[in-house]
Amino acid sequence: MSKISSDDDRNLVAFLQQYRPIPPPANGATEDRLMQIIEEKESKKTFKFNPLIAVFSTVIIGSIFSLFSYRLFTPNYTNAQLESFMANSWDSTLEATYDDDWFLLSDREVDSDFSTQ
Amino acid sequence: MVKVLADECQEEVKNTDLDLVLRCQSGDRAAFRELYRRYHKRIRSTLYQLCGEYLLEDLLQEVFLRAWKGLPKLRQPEHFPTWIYRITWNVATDRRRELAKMANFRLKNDESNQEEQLLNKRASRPQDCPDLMRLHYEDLIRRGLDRLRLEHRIVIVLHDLEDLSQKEVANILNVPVGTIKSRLFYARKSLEKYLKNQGVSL
Repeated sequence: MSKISSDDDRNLVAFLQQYRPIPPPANGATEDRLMQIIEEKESKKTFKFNPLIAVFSTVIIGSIFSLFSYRLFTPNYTNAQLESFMANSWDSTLEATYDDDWFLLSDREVDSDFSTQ
Repeated sequence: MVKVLADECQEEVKNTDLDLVLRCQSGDRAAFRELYRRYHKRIRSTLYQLCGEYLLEDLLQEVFLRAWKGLPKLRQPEHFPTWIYRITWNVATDRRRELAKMANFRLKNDESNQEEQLLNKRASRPQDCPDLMRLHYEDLIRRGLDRLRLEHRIVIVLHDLEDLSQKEVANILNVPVGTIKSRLFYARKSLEKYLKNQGVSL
């Protein structure tokens, strides 16, 4: 302890040390309770959610998925198949007749109005 | 010869403390229990002087829980005593902040019922200490400490009651030694004045 400067201080410190307030008797259960809490915390710690790990995992899983899904979802057609598909589609558009579809909107509305009445 | 032996013992205790801290840092709970047994009386006493009796056990538990949590990050294990006193100070400060909200209510209660409470409390524990003069002085010191600002109070508690050096107190509170000297000076003057006003002759 550092040197006490004056007699007053020395007397005061002696008085404080002699009559220092004494804490109430200790509760013996505190130690066990503390250790129990620590044990519980440690067991929870193994399952603790770590946001950093979660972000990294998501990025890695996403990258892997996008890499493989590109190959997975790309249609596996040959050029010949594609050409024949396009030719057939084009032919059908030229051959199709649209006479049945040339309804006038006003006629349709009139028909529906009558039918509801 | 005695001094040499004492120094050796001191060194051994320090080494053992260091060893315990290192073991705690690797997750050894038994080592932490041993550290608790070594330090809890001092920490408890300091908390009592700073925060009083109410929730004392909870505060003690809080200090050691924070210590366990922070131990892996403690870079200088040899400074464990200073470090745990610093945690104690932080816990006490947090507690005082919580209490500050209820300060007016508490002060009124204390002023009106203090004498009665003291008598009732002591009357229920006659086996503790029958010396009325001693109880009176203890109560005066408690009240005197209560009147001090927490920054002054901690200096009196650590330096004058717990017998730590000014340098150690400065390290715990993370302030220069000069600040500790200044606080000690004002705290002692204030406490001395209060005690003299209460009729204590020093």
